[in-house]
Amino acid sequence: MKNRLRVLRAERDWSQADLAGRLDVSRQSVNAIETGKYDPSLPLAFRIARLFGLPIEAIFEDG
Amino acid sequence: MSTTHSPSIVSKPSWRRYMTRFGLAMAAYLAVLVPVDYAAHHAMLPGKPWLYLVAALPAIPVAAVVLIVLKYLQDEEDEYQRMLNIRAYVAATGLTLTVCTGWGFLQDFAGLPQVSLTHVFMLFCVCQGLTTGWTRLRNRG
Repeated sequence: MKNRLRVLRAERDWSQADLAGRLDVSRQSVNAIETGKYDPSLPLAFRIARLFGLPIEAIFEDG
Repeated sequence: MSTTHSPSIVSKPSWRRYMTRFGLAMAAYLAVLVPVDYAAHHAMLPGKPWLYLVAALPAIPVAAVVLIVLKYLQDEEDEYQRMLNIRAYVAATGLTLTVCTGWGFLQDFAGLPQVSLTHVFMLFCVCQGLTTGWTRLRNRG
């Protein structure tokens, strides 16, 4: 699953560690999601969407 | 830009609880194993049926370790870390099964010496250490 996490994070000038802290996950988790190595669960995807104030489909893209 | 603290796995309450419980279970394992082993080597073990109970006592902390691992996997808040740990445990279980089964065949068909099944737990601990390290190395980033 593709996502725009890296772009959205960069727009806010957040490091991976900053985003991880805001989501209460490890920095490795953020890195794995950004690089497409790991697809987050629906609850974590909702947390990410809420944090950026966007709908899930504006961040994550199927395929 | 504001900076927020990113939780490291070792600072997480679930990991600290796991390490404490795991340490206590390992201490209990040694605390039970050493006197039972001493009693066995000095002909101090009780007669049957108590012998069965005393001889099997060291397996209780081993069962506790399994439950502690399951509890940790249930409590881990970080789903990605949980997935990595599950992978590591499954790989460790597979490695242990492979080594034990392979050794069994070597015993049966190639005359290798018989090894006590009591070593399986320690073998699993070593395999788990290796697979956890390997999983973390492969997924570092």
